[in-house]
Amino acid sequence: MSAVRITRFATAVSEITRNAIVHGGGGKISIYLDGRNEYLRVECRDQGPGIENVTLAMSEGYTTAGGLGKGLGGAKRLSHGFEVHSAPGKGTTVSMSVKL
Amino acid sequence: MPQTATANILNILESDFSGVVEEWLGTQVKEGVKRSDLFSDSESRAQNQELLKAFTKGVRAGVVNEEFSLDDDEWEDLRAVLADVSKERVGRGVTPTEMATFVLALKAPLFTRLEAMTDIESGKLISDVLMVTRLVDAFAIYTNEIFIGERDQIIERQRQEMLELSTPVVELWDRVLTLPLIGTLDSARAQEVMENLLETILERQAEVVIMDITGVGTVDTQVAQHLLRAAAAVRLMGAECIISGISPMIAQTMVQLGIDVGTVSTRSSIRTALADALQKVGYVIKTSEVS
Repeated sequence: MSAVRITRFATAVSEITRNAIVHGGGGKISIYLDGRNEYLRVECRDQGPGIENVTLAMSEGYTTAGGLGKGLGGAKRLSHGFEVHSAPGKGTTVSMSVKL
Repeated sequence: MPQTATANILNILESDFSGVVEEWLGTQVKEGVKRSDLFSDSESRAQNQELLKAFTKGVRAGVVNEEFSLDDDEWEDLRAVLADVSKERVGRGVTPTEMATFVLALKAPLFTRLEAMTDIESGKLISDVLMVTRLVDAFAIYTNEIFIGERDQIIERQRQEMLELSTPVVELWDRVLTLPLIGTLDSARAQEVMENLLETILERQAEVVIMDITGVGTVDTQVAQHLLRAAAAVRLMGAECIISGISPMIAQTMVQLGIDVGTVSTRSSIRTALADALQKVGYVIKTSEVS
């Protein structure tokens, strides 16, 4: 993997795990490699309050913690695959992947 | 009146105290957890004696209706002795496994002595063995907890020390400061960095501050926010801030994240940043003319 791709993906993972710690009170992270070694997938799961409106949370400048409000959308742009599953009270699971 | 559940155990501990200590030491040697490289014989013996004394005291007063908790007041002595012993052992590099095995080795001398008491009926023997197991297990688990707590404290202390060490503000030239950042920048460290920086600006009457992030691996939105806030604070103090060491990778990532550095000047290397800074405070770098 190129250095740029590594930095980009590491930043995305940093962004999402930081969210899990700040908003979700910590969580679990799992790392998967797909069968043909083409993708690396990182899944970050927390049991926090969850996100009410995922689309809104992904939008630029939206923040509940006084941050820049660019983290979630930015992390999506920095990964090749990006999915958020969340509901109020159900915690949040973010799955992101990068082509190897 | 002594508790019937622990009567036999207590009897052994009180009537054959030094015998148990010696055999406990012996088992530790056999199990390979007596660290004669770290502790002298007399030291080990003294530690074992103290531990067993405190343990006996706990067994005597702290077991009611077969129930006990090492958090109770009756076990205070044991907790205190354990804290001392653990502290010393952690300091000398004993592993958690060695520490737990060291305590668990106490079972063997107690078992052999129970077995030798011919007047116990078999049903009682089993319940006595069970009691010893529960007591010693609780003892070992508690030991491990103290042990881990002790290590956590060491880690916390080192983290604190690293935090202080890792935020040096260096005066590069008259009125020019640099802050080489290395590693990750979390909120606690960012705060530390900022305080340190602002104080030094005042102290040295600095006019230009170079924040060098060559050693920072990733800049996510929060790190960027910390940097930009520090830059804003520097500007409020009347100094100028240059962020240097932005690698092509980080530049691309920051663009993707949509981070706008605004009016903060940025440079790719500390070298260009320094040239810039010197110019700003009125110095010129010139090659000397060789005549």
